[in-house]
Amino acid sequence: MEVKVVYLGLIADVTGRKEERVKLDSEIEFSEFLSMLFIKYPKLKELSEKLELIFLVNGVKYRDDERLHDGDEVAIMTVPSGG
Amino acid sequence: MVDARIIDKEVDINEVVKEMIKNSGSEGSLVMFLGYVKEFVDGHRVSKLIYEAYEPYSTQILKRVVDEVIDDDITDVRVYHRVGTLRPHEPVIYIFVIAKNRSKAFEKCRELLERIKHEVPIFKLEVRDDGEYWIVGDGLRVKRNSLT
Repeated sequence: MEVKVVYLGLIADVTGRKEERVKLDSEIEFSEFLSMLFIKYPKLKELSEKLELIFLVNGVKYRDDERLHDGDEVAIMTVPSGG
Repeated sequence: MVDARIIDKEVDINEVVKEMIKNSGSEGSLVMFLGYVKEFVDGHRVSKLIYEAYEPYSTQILKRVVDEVIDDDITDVRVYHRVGTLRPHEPVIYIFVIAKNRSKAFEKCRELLERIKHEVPIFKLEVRDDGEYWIVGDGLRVKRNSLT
């Protein structure tokens, strides 16, 4: 299965890309997926210890026990700054 | 009427106000908020703000926030947030509210502004004479590339 990950605002600077597709062997819990991303991007983990990060799955704030499915879109962002 | 959109062009304020007033009945006032780009921040000259949204979710969340804030006392509301590259003094966010009474219109206009600023995925990069800064939440500035 495959999920799309979108890095918004300054997160894209930290990861060096605005989006990517990640292949997974099977459906996994969001927290497990996040751990994978933190290993791939240590700077993202460092940032998460300094700033509040917000995670959306298909446009909705994720739940701890939420499982990712094929075709899901994950977005990672800091607190918005509209206005 | 409810109209909430993320746009890339300036809004003709007079046109919106005239239309809203024309469509109103027993109401007698309109409250409007306009946010625009600052020219100076912390003593530094700003050359531009670059806004980006996360579509289609930013628009969906904007519409949901407006739906959650308004009630039966609000008879007309229009919310427009611009994205793209904006220069100092250019308008960014427009909120127009007509309600059954003015106190409700002021209250809801403010509530809309605060929720939109904090909940709708919109991000801005401030370009100024001492570098580029990501703005996080309510004014925290992170110098670009300082985290990489």
